Amino acid sequence: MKSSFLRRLINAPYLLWSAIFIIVPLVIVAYYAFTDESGNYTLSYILNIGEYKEVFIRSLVYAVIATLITLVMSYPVAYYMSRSKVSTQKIMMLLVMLPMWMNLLIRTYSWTTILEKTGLINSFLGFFGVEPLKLIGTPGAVILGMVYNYIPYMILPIYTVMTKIDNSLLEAAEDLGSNGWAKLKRVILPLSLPGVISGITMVFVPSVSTFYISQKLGGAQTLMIGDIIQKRFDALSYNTGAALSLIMMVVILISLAIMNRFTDDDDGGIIL
Amino acid sequence: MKLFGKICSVLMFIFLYAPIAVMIFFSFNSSRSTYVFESFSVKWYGELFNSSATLNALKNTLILAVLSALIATILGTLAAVGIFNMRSKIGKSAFMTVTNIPMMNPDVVTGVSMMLLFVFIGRLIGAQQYLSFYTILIAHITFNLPYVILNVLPKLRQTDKNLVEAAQDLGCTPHSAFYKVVIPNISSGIVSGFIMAFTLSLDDFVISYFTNGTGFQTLPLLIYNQTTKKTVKPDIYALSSVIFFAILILLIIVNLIQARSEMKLKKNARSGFISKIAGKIGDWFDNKFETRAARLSVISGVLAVCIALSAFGINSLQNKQNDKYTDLFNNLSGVYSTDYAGTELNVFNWGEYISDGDEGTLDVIDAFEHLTGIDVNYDNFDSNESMYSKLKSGAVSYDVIIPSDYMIERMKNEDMLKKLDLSKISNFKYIDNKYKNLFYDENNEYTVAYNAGTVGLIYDTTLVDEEVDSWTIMWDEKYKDNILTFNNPRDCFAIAQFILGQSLNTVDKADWDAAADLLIEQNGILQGRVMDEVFNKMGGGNAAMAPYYAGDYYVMLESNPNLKFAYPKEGFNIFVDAFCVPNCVKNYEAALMFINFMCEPEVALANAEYICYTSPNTAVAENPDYSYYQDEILYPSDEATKKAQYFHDFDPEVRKYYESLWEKILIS
Amino acid sequence: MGSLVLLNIRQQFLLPQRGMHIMSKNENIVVELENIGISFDDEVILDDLCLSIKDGEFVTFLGPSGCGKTTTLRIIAGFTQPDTGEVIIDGNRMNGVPPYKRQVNTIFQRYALFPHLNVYENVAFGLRVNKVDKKEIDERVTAMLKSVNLSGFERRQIHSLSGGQQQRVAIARALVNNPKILLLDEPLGALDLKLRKDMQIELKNIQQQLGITFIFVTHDQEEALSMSDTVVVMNEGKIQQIGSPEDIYNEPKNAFVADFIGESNILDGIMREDKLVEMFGHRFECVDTGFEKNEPVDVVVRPEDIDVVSESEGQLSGVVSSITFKGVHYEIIVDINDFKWMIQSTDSPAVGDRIGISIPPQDIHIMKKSEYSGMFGDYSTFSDEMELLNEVEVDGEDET
Repeated sequence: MKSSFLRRLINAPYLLWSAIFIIVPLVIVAYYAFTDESGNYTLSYILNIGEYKEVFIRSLVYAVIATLITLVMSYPVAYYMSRSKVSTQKIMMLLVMLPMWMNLLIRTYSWTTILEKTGLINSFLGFFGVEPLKLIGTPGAVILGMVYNYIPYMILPIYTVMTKIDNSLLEAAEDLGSNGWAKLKRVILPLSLPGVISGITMVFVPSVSTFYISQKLGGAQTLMIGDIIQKRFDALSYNTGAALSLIMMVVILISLAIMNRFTDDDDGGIIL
Repeated sequence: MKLFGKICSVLMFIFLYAPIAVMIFFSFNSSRSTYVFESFSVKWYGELFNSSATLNALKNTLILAVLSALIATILGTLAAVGIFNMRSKIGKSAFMTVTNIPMMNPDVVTGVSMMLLFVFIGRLIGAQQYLSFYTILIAHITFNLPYVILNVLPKLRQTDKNLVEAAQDLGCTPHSAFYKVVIPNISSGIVSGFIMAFTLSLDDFVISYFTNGTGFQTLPLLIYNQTTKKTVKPDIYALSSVIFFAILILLIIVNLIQARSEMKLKKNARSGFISKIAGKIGDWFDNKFETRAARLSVISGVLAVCIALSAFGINSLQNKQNDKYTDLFNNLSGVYSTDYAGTELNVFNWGEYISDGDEGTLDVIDAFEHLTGIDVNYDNFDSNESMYSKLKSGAVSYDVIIPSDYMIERMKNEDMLKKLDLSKISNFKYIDNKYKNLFYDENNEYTVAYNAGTVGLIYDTTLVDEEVDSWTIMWDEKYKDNILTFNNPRDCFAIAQFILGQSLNTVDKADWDAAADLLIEQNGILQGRVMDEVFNKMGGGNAAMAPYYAGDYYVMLESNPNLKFAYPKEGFNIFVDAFCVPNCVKNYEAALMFINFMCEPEVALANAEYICYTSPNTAVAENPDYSYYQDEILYPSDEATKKAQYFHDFDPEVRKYYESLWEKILIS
Repeated sequence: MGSLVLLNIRQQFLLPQRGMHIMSKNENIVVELENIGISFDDEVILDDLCLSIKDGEFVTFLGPSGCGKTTTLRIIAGFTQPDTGEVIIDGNRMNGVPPYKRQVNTIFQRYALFPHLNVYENVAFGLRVNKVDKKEIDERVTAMLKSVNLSGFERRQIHSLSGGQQQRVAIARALVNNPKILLLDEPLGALDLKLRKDMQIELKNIQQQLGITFIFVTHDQEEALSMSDTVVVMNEGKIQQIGSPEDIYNEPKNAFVADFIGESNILDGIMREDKLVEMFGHRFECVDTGFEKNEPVDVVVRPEDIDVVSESEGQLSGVVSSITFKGVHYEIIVDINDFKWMIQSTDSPAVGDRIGISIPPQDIHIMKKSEYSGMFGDYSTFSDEMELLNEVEVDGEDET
């Protein structure tokens, strides 16, 4: 009896911590979203979200495009990695992870050196007499920034799942007449789906909520919802900010729920 | 298929490393630009180790990362064991769901929700300053926890359940069985959890942004400040390059150690020279410390010593240059007491708005610290509004702030400022009468002017070959995608208001509507809305024109000699930034001392040279050695400033109105 | 159940053109390996291997772990390309031809069933890849599942099946494609003993019904002997002996084969003349001829071929050092001149008894001396080595 009580006690610090610092803050976000500055219940902030419709749509569209590009770029790399020699795999893993240890801000910022009107690409083009292109300040630059920053989050889960695919399954597929493409379509793709899903999640969520990338690489009309939230909080408009955060959270959860319908996760509880 | 994968991988790595290569390359640039490479130089690396702000941020980051990772590891390990032992499936799954929240939630939401929690608690207990080192620490622990748990749980699952029973069978109590059997078996999970937490904390920006307290700046926050403010100099690239190589070396060492332990398993593996050496060192290590626990504790001990040493090194680096201010101090001996040595002074200033020791200039803060022994925590803001919100929210407290005129008016009206004891600021005598008793402080009780300035239009003559004398050129389709404008409402509205011939301080909503319409019209041809990013944009020739502060024109001119400055005929904004002491002051005497020090002729001159704004300090303006002595742009004649207007403060209703218009402009 | 499966398979596959091959074995060579050599990381896996397999044959590659049997199988399947030598299937040189272009199917060691597909889709996989008409797929898969007794399991997920059921799915998945050759890589290794025996019979029956070539890899000599038409004994990348199970058992070519197949006493002997061999100073009559006079040879005597007689009647005599009851017989260890003979007999002398042994001439097998001479000897070394083999096989054999 005593030991089982002790065992329960071991949970107490974390239980307390997660209640105070995970659950309560979310409740408070909801509280601010549904009250006005003097604490009275109001729906006006939530209902006013319509004003930000375009920003929401823009954020979602950018994030979806960035996620898709990331996926297309990562998949062959992850496959190639998973089928390489163990020593090559290690080196490649290291190379993929290394940029993640660099600060996101600086990684994003160094793109300006490349993309600016007098940046490296345009200097290079100018060498051949090509007029400078408008690269920075475009939606493309923002999406590029997202792809660049979050691509390791796509490669790693896909790679991890792929290394777990037993080689004999691939051989069985070949044995049963699949050439490279059929093998990919019928065996590798379905078996790597869990990795793809978690990769998509890990890229989509930060992309849709980013608030630095669009400020650095975007222009006057590429503002993202994360930027607005940051600005609202910086301007002390907690209620609007909270309402925006809440809606964004809901949008993300809905997106994730839709995606999770494609897989059954067997471990680690439900995602809300 | 294989070839395709190989090509993709090569392209991917080029993509991943191109910006990093560029960054490393430009860190060796001898000029201040991050766009145009001049010649090879390592001076930015030197600057790095001379910059007390950078070293401080590094120290703070390390302290925060170690502490938060350590606490998260302990809490998380306990939690993982608890979750693992839970019998009820529902309980388990509920726990895991809660654990997943900080991982699944966008960082912004996590940051914002933590901040709101602290605001809420702060308001409940009536605390004046609710953000501090502890709040950022709590936030970091919270987002680190899930990663520790998710690293430890799988190891627990892998552990044979019979092990604990075997230990108990052999005479262990449940307690000692846990330490003797379970902990060693999950130690690799604990260690990797710690490392992951450490790195996440090291790298976090978003959550830190919302939860950090006064004067506690981490590296990511420093980088954010530096890349959003004024000139981004290659020193930030130098800093990142150093970090990059440090991590690279660390990872290589870790991998070599791993390769060695694998080699042990494989008898006849071929091995290279380096791995042989690593093997030798490793063998020695293994022989010296036989148990796993001993090895782990030695490694963590070494790590702790390293961090402590670097923190120590940082401190001594900061203290080493005591003699460089002798000239300055000789003049000031006896004027400044050291009674407040050891106390802290929190200063909140605009970015790049003080001479900071960069490239041989006077490091004003450092000099003040040496002179008085007071520790200065120096923070930056990028707009009056953000400074105001920070103070208003009560999240932070400062002793000296430097707002602009209209904001001073508002803060004074809201009783947020404390009167200054001018008798203790003897250098007030140097302030030009023109900058005393202005509308925001009619009896001059609250302020000492620091800088004055005007707004004009800066343009690049290689892109604009007409004479510029009007704001309307900013609406010219010819310059589509080449026009920059302000990224703050009042400066931005002012331009439209001048064109429309309104007063900048109109309270007529129709006026505001008309100005907003004009600004929305401009949206389509703008390259972007910027604040201090303008330095790089205009300095690098990346845009044709931008309205900005007159003094900053000279800074841009250094990197782009084709720039010109014009005061448009419709009129322009004029402003004064002044020292104030907010009501939440904690070190009033030191604050006065600091303001007085800033008005010392030598200090003021250093600042004026560095900032290039109009100095209200007569000791500067009348000094013929001053670079901008009688400069027409910085010191325009009274005739020229006839059409200049100050911003005044509005009541909240007007403010809200134009802010909602501003939002509309931004998102349309 | 075994006979039912047999019946179903017969119905399914007694197609006219196949029927002709069933009773009379076709003598055509279907697989030919010529001078195959391959090595990984400087380690020679196969060394100049030559082998022909006839159409309709049940061939077993038998050997200890690491002997190269799985590699040989993978070369035939096309997963591994040999460094040297020719692979000829059905008269065509197949070097470099990928697996999916070979009319060969494999049953994998752990079945390699696709976890993301259900039973039906696993079986249909090969047909779908080859773009077989939907209706035909349905017919063939349904019939195939019926014939392996898995009707009604179509929608089941793979991980919900027992080992035996998974085995059947794997068989169905391979056979539904009408392969010319079926390769089986230790397919019974994961099953328990009883199921294993049943499946042995079933597989043999399927092979006889279909008349297609089965190439079977195992380390289990009993399995090899009971199922195969031809056994290929391999060790260290070389073929030690090819022959019918009887030949392999009765006329092992060298000490390795003698030791690996069944239990045996392997002794040093000297061939005094044709049909006369000397061991322990005693001359035994035998039936082997063709050796040099006084040539040193290895002599194999199977434990069950030794008669226990009274000390005086025996050709040799010694003291019983242990006796173990094994069900149908006793296993007697007799120490004769420091060599521990193993004898299987229904007699049960007591430990410490002196007994004589007598060996009929036709049960004395003479082998030329080989590299394996002296490595395997009496009972005491045999048991050690067996343990070693068992231990290795538990991990499974992964020779890539």
